[in-house]
Amino acid sequence: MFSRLSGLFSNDISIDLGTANTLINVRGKGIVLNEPSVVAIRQDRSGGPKSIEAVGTAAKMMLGRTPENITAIRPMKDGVIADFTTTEKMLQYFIRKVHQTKLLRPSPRVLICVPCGATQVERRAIRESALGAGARRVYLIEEPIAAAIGAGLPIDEPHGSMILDIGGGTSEVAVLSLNGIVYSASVRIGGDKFDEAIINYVRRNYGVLIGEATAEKVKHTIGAAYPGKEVLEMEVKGRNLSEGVPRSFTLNSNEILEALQEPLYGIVSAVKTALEATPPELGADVAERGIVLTGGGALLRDIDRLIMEETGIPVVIAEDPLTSVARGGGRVLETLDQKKQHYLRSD
Amino acid sequence: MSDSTEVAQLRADPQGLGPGEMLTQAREEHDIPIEEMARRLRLPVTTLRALEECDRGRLPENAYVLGYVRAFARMLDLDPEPYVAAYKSWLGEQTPASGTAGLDTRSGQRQGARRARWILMVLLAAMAAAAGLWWWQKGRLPLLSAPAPAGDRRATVWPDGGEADGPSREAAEAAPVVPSAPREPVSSAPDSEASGGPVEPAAARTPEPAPQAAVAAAGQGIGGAGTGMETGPAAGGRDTASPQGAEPAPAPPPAPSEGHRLVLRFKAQSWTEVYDSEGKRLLFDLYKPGQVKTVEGKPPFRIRLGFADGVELLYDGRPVDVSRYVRQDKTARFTLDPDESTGAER
Repeated sequence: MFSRLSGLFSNDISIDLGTANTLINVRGKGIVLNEPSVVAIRQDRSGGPKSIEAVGTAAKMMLGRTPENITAIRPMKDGVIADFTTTEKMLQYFIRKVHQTKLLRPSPRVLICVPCGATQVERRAIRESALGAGARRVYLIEEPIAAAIGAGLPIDEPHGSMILDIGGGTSEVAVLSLNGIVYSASVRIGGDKFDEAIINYVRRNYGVLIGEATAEKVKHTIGAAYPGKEVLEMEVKGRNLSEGVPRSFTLNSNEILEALQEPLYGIVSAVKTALEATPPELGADVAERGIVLTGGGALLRDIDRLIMEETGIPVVIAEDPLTSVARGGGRVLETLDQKKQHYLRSD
Repeated sequence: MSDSTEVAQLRADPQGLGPGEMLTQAREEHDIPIEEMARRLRLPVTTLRALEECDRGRLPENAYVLGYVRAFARMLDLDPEPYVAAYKSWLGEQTPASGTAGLDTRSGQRQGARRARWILMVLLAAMAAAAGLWWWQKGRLPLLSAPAPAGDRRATVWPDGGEADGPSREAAEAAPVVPSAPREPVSSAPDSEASGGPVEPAAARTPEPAPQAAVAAAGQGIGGAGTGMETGPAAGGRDTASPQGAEPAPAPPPAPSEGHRLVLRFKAQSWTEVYDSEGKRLLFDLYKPGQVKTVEGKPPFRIRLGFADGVELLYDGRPVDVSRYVRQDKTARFTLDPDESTGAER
């Protein structure tokens, strides 16, 4: 009763609980929070109590730069919860942050986007985590549906729409029609795997160890999925494994393209498998209109061209692909009070 | 001149090109036939032609159209944003945004919820104000009504010159005295009792006559030092106070007293709670050996003694045997009721 009362003073929110970033869309306001899914935890003595040092952007800046008593961790891995308690604390922080002007403890209805490949145990963990963070009621929506709605695809029509959402931990491919998923698949390849591939490439070819943050910066700056007309270069610093001292060297976009071949191949394979498994009528719709790319991975240079060349189907990048899922969740929020819910699962 | 500037100029020109013509011009500048462009984009030629001719009927939903435009521009190494902006403008004139297709946003519901929220806030504020008013009134009532707690009555009935919340001295002089007897034995004087002096049992004394009380109120007050009404010698001192300047008031018949007196003598340290029939808390403290507490209230009394063996209890002067209420842990909880035929205790 009390939570329902206090819920009147809380805004419904949708959360894109991503491996790399967490986005929150508040009903009637739009996306109000976009922060890295990173938490820094302080523990001053062994076995002593742990406390949250920083969350989000501040915590991400600590990644790889922490002293012994602080640990910066990413509680989400491969699109699901890897550290339940830390995820709960992070959600609690974010929910309070978007309700910071309220006197009462926020008790919102929360819509959370989950990977379509998440198991029941993983979904339950996400739900419990949100409830523990103060949510009054939790709804789950599968990421491809939210991404398609956010990208503006006509998923309520009897036409096949294919969406490929490349996130930080997973890539989701789905064929949607009439408000439902006809086919979906999730591969545990995403931005994190790209970073990992770059780190491995540099260590293997240059004998230099670079950190995750550096690898991510390289990916954003000169990363490419398809050979371009011009070759981009970037100076990178890392620790030479044989000498043990920092060393500077130059990477170019062709090298990053080579480094990313394996994870990119995994994504292309998932798309090809989806096309094979799609019913012919819907496959024809997809072939005519194309595949829509969303998620942070869609920002990798020429990834649309790679998929286009590999599948022979037009590929378009959604507008502001990084926020497609969050925007789609926000649109579904507007329909929470309707009796008929096509996309949501509250139990 | 950059492409963006060129497009901006085109859009600024009232005779400028439409978005489709912009794409056609960009393609022709790169000398790429439409068939080749369609092959590169993996799009049907008819779709690309519809895009260049702005034929909305042959184009899919906005999300796809804008994606085609973006891919088209990037294929020609152009900045896609001006072209996308031009198409957005054109699509905005033609159709509403397709993003909410199939989703009824129902802004009316949201407005209703907001209104309900405001009404609830106003109701809550009103309830809080009412509760505050009730609490304030409840706090004041004992000061105004006759059966006040001991501490309060000392301040209101017998102002000793410095009390602001009690009736004024002039009012006490002018007004006929209300014989609210027995009003005197309210609190004990721990200081004097702690010295080990003999304490006269309050029950042994008779209630003060009303005129004397009035005279005392109009005169020097009681004790002169704000000690309030005290049992024992201090109270006796009040009796001897000379009623200088006070006119003798007609003595009204003493009102029948509803209150009964309890005297508690402590032989050992004991936690003690006493409540009257109205639930008013008369005693609630830890008392030391040698202390004597006299309270008055409306029976039955609810009594709780932390160490019952260390307390002697007198009810209207009659001793009460508390031993039968003593539990194994030496505490006692019982109710004293004079209406019981068996006597004072129950």
